[in-house]
Amino acid sequence: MITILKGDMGNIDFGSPIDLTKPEKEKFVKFLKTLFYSVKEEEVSTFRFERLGNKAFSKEWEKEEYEVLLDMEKDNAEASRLLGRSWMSIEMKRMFYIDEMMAYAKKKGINLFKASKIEMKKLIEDYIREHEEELAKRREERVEERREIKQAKEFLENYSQRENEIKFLISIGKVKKESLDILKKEKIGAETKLKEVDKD
Amino acid sequence: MILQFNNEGKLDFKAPIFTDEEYLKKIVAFLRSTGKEVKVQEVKEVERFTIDPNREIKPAKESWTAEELILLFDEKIALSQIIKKIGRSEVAIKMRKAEFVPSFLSWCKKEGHSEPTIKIINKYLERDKE
Repeated sequence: MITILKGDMGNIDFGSPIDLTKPEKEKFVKFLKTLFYSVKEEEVSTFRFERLGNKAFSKEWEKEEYEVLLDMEKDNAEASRLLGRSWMSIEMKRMFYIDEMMAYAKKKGINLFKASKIEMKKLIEDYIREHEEELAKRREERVEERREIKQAKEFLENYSQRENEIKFLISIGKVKKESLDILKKEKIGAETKLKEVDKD
Repeated sequence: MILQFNNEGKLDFKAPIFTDEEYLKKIVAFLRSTGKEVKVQEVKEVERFTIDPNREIKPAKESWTAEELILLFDEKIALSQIIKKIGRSEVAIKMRKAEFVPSFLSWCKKEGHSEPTIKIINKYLERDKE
């Protein structure tokens, strides 16, 4: 049996990975492509353990998705539907990119109100091409940021145990007392990192 | 959207996807068409951002007027000037712009309007009320 989890904020998920034969998988991908703008396939050895309802998920933006995001002739509801992303995530992202695209159109001498579909498409393609490195960098920065957050969380989760270990090692003279100060400093660093994330 | 699969015929979404009721029904119908039993189970999602219960709640501002909205297209006026002129916050202006510009632009294209004017914006806002 396939369980589809339906969240109260509009997201859906599988309860666990589903079994499909190769022809069924191909049909499913084809079918999803009729609903969503960008559907990519990725071969993996393991699947995620957490499911909708266990944690909050964030998704990296794929290059193809920018084609919809930057298309100012698609309102947020349409972009949300095409990308399978929430209306809010589209709006948050567009808070930056709408200004960017308006300035870019002006630079290229394009009047957004008079531009044809072809001109708009070319404008978006040119922007993506010119900013490819920047867009990739943003993705990398987010990956690095998530890694740091994960590390900080793990550090705080294991802090008491580590503190006890160091106290024991100090008591038997294996490490210096300063090690405890260093650990405490690291704790402050991890807490500050998580506070910054909360603020953002 | 990224679909993950392995060599044992398992398939999964890389992360949950956002859909409306119509798309969900279509996905369920498709999976049922493969002869599989499909159950939809409602769950409470974990919020990505927690809201500070001690936050300052400001009274809602009046709806945007066409005179305010037209400023969003004026490249000669800096954001700081718009803030001063209409008394709305930077975030409020950016959020309204992210929502209004694509929606208004696509409407203008459909209606054949080739520039933003107060009259046209008012017409758009009237349509919104209908």
